[in-house]
Amino acid sequence: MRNYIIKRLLLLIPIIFIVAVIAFFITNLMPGDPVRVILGNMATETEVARVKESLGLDQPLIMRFFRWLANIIKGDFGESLYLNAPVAKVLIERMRPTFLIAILAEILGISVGILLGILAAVNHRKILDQFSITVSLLGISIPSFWLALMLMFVFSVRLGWFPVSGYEPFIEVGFSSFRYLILPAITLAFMQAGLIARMTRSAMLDTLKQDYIRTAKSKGLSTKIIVFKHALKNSMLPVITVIGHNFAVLLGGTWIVETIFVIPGTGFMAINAIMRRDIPVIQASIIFVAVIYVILNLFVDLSYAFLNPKIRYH
Amino acid sequence: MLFLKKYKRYKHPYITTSIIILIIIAFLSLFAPLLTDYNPVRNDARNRLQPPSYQHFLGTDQFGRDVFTRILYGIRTSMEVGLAVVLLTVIFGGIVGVMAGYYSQIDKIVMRILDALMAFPGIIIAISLAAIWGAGKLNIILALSFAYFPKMARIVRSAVISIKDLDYVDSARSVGAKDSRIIFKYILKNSASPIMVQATFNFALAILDEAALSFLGVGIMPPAPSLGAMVTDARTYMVVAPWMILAPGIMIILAVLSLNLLGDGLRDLLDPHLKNTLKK
Repeated sequence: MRNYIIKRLLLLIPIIFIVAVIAFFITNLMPGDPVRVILGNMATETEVARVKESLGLDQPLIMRFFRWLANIIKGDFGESLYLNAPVAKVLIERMRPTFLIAILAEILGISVGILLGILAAVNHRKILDQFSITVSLLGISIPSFWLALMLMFVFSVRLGWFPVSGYEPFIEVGFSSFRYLILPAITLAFMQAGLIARMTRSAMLDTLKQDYIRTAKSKGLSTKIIVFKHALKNSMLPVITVIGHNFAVLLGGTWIVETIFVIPGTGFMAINAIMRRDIPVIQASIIFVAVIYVILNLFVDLSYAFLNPKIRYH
Repeated sequence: MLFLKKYKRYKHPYITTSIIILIIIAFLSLFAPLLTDYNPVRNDARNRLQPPSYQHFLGTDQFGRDVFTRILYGIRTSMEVGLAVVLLTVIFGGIVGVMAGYYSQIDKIVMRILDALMAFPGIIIAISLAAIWGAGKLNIILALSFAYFPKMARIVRSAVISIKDLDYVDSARSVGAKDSRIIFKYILKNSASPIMVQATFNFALAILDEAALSFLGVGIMPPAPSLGAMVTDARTYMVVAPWMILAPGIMIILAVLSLNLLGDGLRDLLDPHLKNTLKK
């Protein structure tokens, strides 16, 4: 087990390296010269050349890549071209609302998803199963931006339960800060719940066919005990994989949802950076999501070993 | 074809329902110009923000354009993008997947690169690429294909690996069949099911993501009709003209829902073992 963990940690290095390569080259192929954008149309050629030199943009791409990589390893993502601050600092400041939304959505999505999945599996081919299938299919088929606008329209504009958009940090306003985050979280949770419910249902149906479940049934145990005590734990493996894989999708979803609800998180920052060609910020935002995905999936793989002793690693 | 044979035997209800809806959608998008008298991009200042009526079945938007007409042309764009993305992901994912699965020498390197690519959520790659290359139909198609092909490649790869050492492939090899013949005749033919299932889900995803990109303004450029961009327009008029936002949303949901339903049905029908292989 220890060897496996070490091996997996070492494997992170090439993957994160390739992630960095992709992030760097995608962003450096962007059209529009950032120097011209900073200086405006009136700038002379010499001015442009001077600023390029001071930003190190006059060197060949490969050289820039390795210098950039060395800086990133030191935790320096460069200066934002618009926010006039180090990107790493801005990113950390902006993480809070994003993570709050993501975690709220994940908790909601997991609880609703697993519940729907169990209900469907236990009532296989009955009305509740059909209901749960329909809800989870809708969850993965409704565009999140449209759902966000619908929720905003009904609950903020018409009913006035939540603010229409914006955000106030927890430190300043306390718990009413959550009022800004609930609708974005529900939007993202809906899709997660759909994905998780589908996986829970099929895993649960597989488990319920096993011999030991039949034994438990013939012992006279109630369905509740069979499901929650015996079957659930054994159906969780694929569900955990889905959760791990889709947390990054969730973070990607915050790009859209934060933009709609005007919440100053990392996603809102990323979209704005893309519109303004603020390259260091785009790079940092892309790497942020990818690295979280990679690390989370390492944990998912490791958790297999704990949940299922039958899985042996070499 | 295996699929038709199996379908005749089981008559899966998901597949029947979804295919009927999809045929209707395909009909609407193919014959859009014949089904409406209005032009999807011409403004009509006298008929701005009209509620649904006999003349304007789903009302009009802020420029007086007929919403029903724009929906028809919008779903047409979605279907074009979806089909093209499916085609490209199957081709590129297929090539990369077969290479990695069949030639184990390059498998490790290819897999590492695919792992890294899959660390980026599709929508993030697509937004970034669309922003680089600029908005436009072709660029979205390329961006989405690039975002989806790693997953397809992995699916093809595992199908190839599970087939390439089976006895019948070995015997083909031992009588001197060339690699290309083995790959096309034996391996690809028998890994068609997981590819078809994934392609169907990719179609659904491509429609959703094209709408999201167009909504954000990095997709199809206005005034060209796109369901996502229609929602952007409708946002401002949500209170006074709710039909503007309801219609494109419901159209997207219908198309995506029936594709997902079809994917589920195909998976049940074609691959009773897929569930088990996915778990490993």
